[in-house]
Amino acid sequence: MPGTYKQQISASKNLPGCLVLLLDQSGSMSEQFGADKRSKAVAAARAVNTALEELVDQCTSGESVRNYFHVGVIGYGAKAAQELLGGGSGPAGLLTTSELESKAQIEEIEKDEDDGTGKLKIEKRSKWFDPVYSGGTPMDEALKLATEKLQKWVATYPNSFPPIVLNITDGEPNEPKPAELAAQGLRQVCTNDGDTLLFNCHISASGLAAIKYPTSDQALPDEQSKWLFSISSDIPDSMLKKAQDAKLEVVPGSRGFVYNAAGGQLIKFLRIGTVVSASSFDQ
Amino acid sequence: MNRPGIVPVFALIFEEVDPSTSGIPSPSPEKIIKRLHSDLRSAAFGEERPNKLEIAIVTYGSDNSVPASTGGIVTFGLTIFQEEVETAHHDPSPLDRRSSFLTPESALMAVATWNMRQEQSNSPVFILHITYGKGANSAAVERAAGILKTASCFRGAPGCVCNVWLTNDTAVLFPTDEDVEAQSNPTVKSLFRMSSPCGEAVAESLGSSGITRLATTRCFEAAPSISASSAMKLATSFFAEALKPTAGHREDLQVAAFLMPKEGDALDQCEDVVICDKNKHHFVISDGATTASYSAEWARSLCQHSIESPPPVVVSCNLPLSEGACDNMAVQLKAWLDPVMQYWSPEIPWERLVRPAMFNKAKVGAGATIAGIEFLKSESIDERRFRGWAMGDSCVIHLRKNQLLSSRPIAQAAQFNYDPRLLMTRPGYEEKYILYWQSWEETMMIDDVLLLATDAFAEFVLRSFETAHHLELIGLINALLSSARIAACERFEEFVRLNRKQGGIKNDDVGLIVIKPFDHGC
Repeated sequence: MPGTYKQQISASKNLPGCLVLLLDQSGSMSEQFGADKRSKAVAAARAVNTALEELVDQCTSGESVRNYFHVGVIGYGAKAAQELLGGGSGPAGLLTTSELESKAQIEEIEKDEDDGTGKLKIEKRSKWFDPVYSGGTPMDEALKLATEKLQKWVATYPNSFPPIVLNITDGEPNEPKPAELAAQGLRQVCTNDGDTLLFNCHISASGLAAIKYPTSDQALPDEQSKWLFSISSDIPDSMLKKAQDAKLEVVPGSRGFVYNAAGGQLIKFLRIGTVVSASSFDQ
Repeated sequence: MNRPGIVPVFALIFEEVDPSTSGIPSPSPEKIIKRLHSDLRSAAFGEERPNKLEIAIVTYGSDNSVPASTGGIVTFGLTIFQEEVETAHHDPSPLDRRSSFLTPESALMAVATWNMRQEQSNSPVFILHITYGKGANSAAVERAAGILKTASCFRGAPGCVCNVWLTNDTAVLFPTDEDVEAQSNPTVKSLFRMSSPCGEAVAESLGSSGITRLATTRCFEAAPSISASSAMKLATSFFAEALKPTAGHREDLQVAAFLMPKEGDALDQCEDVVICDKNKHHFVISDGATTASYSAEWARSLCQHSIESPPPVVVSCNLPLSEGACDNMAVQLKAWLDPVMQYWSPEIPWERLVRPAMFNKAKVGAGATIAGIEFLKSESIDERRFRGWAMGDSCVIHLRKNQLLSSRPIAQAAQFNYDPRLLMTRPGYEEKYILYWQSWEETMMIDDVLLLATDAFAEFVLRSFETAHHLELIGLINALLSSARIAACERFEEFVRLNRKQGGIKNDDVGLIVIKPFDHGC
C-alpha cells in the first residue's frame, strides 16, 4: 500500500533515514562506458563515491557529520553478493553517516588551476571504492541481502522515512526473473511512512545521452534499461517538490531511474534542509 | 538624561584549576569585582547614573575539586555610584554565591540561557570569561560562545563577550583578524573566535587611553594574570559607552524576542539569529541555511553588522528604474556586505577542518536570509516611521487592529519553499540580490504590531490569517508582550511545541521579534 512519504528525516528525533547502495562489480562492467575512455566499473565506482560524498556533504555541519542516515553498500559480482561497507553501529551493521565519513580514504586530485605558487591546485576528496569487476551478475542475491538488512532496520525505526536503495548497474542480471521477484520483495519492506524505494542508475556502454527520471519506458533505448525502469519505484509526490526545488527534471509520475547519468543526482532527493545555491535566484 | 530601569550586568565566568599545577595565580573574583567597582566609580558616566550593577559569578573546571553543577545562575546586586552605600561589604563572599558547572560549554550556555530569559530592558551586559585555555579549541565551546555573543540582545542591547587567557606563553592584546591570522597557536585562534568585536566606539575609547586599535579588534587578550589584564579597562569603556545618555531617549516600544531550536536539538545548534537594539531602535533576524557549515556564524555576522550599520536603501530592480540605478544599487549593496564577508572567514576553525568533507563543505560557504527594521526619527509617538529590508524567507509582518496589513518579502504561505534566496558568503552575487532585495518605508500606528519571524513561524502566521484561524495567534502575541519574561518564554515554547506536534509549524529553528508601541496615553 503506498505510504505518505512525509516523515521528516531527523537525527535529533531518532528518525534517521536509510540508504543502501548496490554496486554491480560483474565482469561486464569492464566494458567501455560509451564514448568515454573509462570502463563502466570506473563510472560505477565514481557514481558510488559521488553518491556517498553527496550524502556525507548533506549531513556535514562544521566539524561534525550528523547521523541523519544509516548506510550500507553491497557489491555483487564474482564473490556473489557481499557487504562492502559494514560493521556499523546501526541495525544489521549499517553505518551511521559519521561512521561512513570516518571510513573514507582521502584522495588528492590535481585541479586544472594554479594554486598561486605555480603548481596545480590540489583538491582533497573522500573516496570509499576503487573499480572492481569480474564474474557474473547476481543482482537477485544483492537485492535479497539488502532486504534482510532493511527488515532489521525497519523493525528498529518503524516510524522513519522508508529506506531508499540505489542500484548502480549495467542492467544485465544473471537471471532477470529472480531479480525481479527479489526487487518486488525489497520494495515491500516498509515503515509506517511507506514502502522501500528502489532507484536504479543504469550505466550503459551505448554512449547515448542521459535520460533522467522518465515517466514511461518509451524513450529508453534497450531491453536492459526498460527492465530496470520496470523495477524502479515511482518518485513519491512528497519528494517531487524537494527534487524540483533542487532543479531536478522530475514530473508527477517520474520514476527513480537515470540512464547514463551521475549517481549523485538521485541522492539529491534526500535533501534535508535549505541548500546554499545560487540557483535559487534563477526561479 | 535619565535612563530609567537600566541596570548594567556583569557576568564573570572563570575556570577553576589547582594553582599548584597551573603555575599561574588563580583569579580572585573579589579582587576583580573590587577593581571593577573602583573603575566604574571613577568613570564619568554623566549626571544621571545607574546606581546598581548586577553581577553573576559562574565557575567551571575540569578537575575533581570542582563541585557539580548547581543549575541556575545566582546574581547579586552591587551598588556602585552612591558613595554612602556599598553593598559589597554587606553581601556574603561572592564565591559563596557562584554557580558552578563542570565544563566550559555548560557554563557558557547557562549564562546565555539566563541572559535570554531575563526581563527585557536595554541593560548593557558585559561577560568576562577568564580561562586557562583548557576548554578552548573545541567545537562545543565555540558553539556555546556563539549563542552567548548574541544572547545579551534579548535584554534589548547587544552585549560584549571578552575572553582573557591566563598564560605565560603568548602575549595578545585585543587583536584584529590580521593579528590572529599570523598566529599559529590554536588556542589563540579559538578564543579570538569566541570573542565579541569591541565596536568602533569602544575601540576609540581604548585608543584614547593608550591602546591604539582598529574597530575590527576583538575583546580577547592573553595575559599572565588578571591583575595585569587590560580587560577590566575594556569593561569600563564598554559600560561607559553603553550608558551614554541618548538625547530624547524614551522607552516607547514593547519588544519581546524569542529563539527556539528544532525539536530535539539543543540551543547551541540553532542557526537562527535574533538581535535587538532598543537604544538604536534597530531589530534584525536571520536564518542560516541548515545544510551549510557555519551558517549560524554568517547569520550572526549579518545581524551584528545590520545593527551597527543598517543596509543601504536598495529597492528591487524588478521595478521600473532609471538606467544605471540597478548598477548603482549593486555597488552600494556590495560595499555594505564586504565587511561582513571579511568578518565571516575568521569565524571558521580552518585549522581543525582536516577531513575533506568538513573542509570542502566550509569552503563552499554559507548562506542566510535576513529581515530587519530601523525606526526613523519621528516627531509623533502615535505614528512612527520605520524602514524595513528583507531577502529570502525571513519576514517582516505588519499587523493593524489584529489584521494582517502586509508581509514582506513573502506575502502568502504557499510561497515558502526549500530554496529561499540567500545572502551568501561567496562574493559576486550582488546583481542577483538586488533583483529580490526589498526595502520599504512604512508607518507604525499605535495599535500596530510588527513581527520579525524566520520562515517556520512566518509561514504559520500567514496561514493563520489566510484560513481565519488567527485569534489564537493574536492571543499569543498579547500574552508575549504582557507576561513577565520567563512566563512569556514558557508560553512561546509551549505554543510552538504544540503547533509543531499538530503540523501547523514545521520542525525548524524559530526566531521571532514582536514589537508594539507603548501606549503612554495622555
